[in-house]
Amino acid sequence: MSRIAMPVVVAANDLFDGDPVWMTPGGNWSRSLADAEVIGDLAGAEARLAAAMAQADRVVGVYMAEVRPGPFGPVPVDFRERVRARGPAPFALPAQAAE
Amino acid sequence: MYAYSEFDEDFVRARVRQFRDQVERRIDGRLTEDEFRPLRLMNGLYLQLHAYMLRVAIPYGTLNALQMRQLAMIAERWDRGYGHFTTRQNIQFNWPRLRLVRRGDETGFEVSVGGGLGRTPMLGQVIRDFLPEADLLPYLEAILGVYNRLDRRDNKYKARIKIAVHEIGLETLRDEVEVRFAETRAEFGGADRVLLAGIAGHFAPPAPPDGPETIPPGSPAFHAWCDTNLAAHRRADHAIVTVSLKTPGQAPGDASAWQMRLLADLAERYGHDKIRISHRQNVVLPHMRKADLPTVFAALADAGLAATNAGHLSDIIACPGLDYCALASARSIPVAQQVAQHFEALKIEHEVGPLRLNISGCINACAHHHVAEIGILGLERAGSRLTRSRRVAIRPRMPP
Repeated sequence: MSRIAMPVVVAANDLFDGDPVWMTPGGNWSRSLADAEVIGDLAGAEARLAAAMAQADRVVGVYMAEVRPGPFGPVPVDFRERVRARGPAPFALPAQAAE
Repeated sequence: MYAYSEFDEDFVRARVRQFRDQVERRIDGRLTEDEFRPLRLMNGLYLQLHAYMLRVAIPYGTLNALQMRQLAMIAERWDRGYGHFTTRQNIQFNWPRLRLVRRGDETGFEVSVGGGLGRTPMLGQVIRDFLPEADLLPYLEAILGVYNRLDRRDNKYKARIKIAVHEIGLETLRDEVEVRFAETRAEFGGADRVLLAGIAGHFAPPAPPDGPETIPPGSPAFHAWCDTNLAAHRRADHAIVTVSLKTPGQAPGDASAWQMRLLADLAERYGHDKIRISHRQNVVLPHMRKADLPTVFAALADAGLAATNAGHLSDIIACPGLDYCALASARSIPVAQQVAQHFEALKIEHEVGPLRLNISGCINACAHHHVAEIGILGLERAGSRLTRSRRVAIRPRMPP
């Protein structure tokens, strides 16, 4: 894996729901990237990552994702992370029974 | 139709009990994620980009109405009211939750080896020009035996017969297979033939025709659908119906629980209770009486399932891509959506004629982009993490 550049957020999936979640400044987990703690130094990021990994009873697939500041909170640098934060494209769902 | 034996049922039930216990132990902390991951993957539970994904095998791609209704029930009760039929002739549910998962002259063969798509597409090579039918299982076992010894289990990307053939060469493989075949052939002692006869008994040949052999008159839309979505059946009074899950604008392969139940009803009422899931992400009703086709078409049309595009440009195979898949490099579904809508607006699809357009979101090639006339592959361009590029390959038209 290529070296990660700061700042970063700590990302994971909720163990029970599978939902994408991000670590907040209080060490909790939010389903909104806007709530995530933005970490500017590698040592701090590694410490937060270790703390996240210790929460295996709540989350799965913990990792660091690069971000840059945006008007409404952190914006992922990587395209995959943007898709992950936004959800799937808004395609039409198959027909349901008429109400 | 595959008949599930008592053994199959006991096996599946035991597997469910075992997995339920494994999920409980993961949730209460007795299993770590590292311990749990291989167990959940063996049971078809993946962690994707936005959620867990549960993949359900459909052996031979064959379902009856009861089984299709059960898939609809799962979609509605444990997912978001729809499921996604994949190129593996199975179904995946893209939004399950872990807490719920726990509850929830002489006949013979020309034999080719080493073919496959995926990240290393290769054409199969003929290892035996002619193999008597009775030797099929012993010979295939001999191939597997040799492969098991040569296999590159050190590298999951290379643990494939095609890699073994490529690395040691067809001639060497053939020599080794023939030696092993000579050694092991007698061990079968005819037991394989007895088993085969038992399986063949479940696939009864069709009865002779006893109904009208022509399609009843109907609307132009009905006849266009018949021209496009039907294939010839062995019985002249029957037809094979492809129900396209490719309504332009929708994700290829998605079907709602309501649509699944309707398909179950149609199969039960008009189609000898038989359904198949095709690798093109469509549902096939393999035994429909021609006399019933107008009724079936009307029911499909009411349910948004009468897309008249089987084998045509908008019958696109598309993998879930970056909208769901954790492995993907690029999106597939929005590309499929836009292409289908574009050509639907132009109304030239039927003028173009049969054409395959397959879209894979990464080199793993789930959408079989190598074997379409137009194959689109999503790539991550090195050094530019914000843009994703796609490689488009156009090939001469192939026989269908």
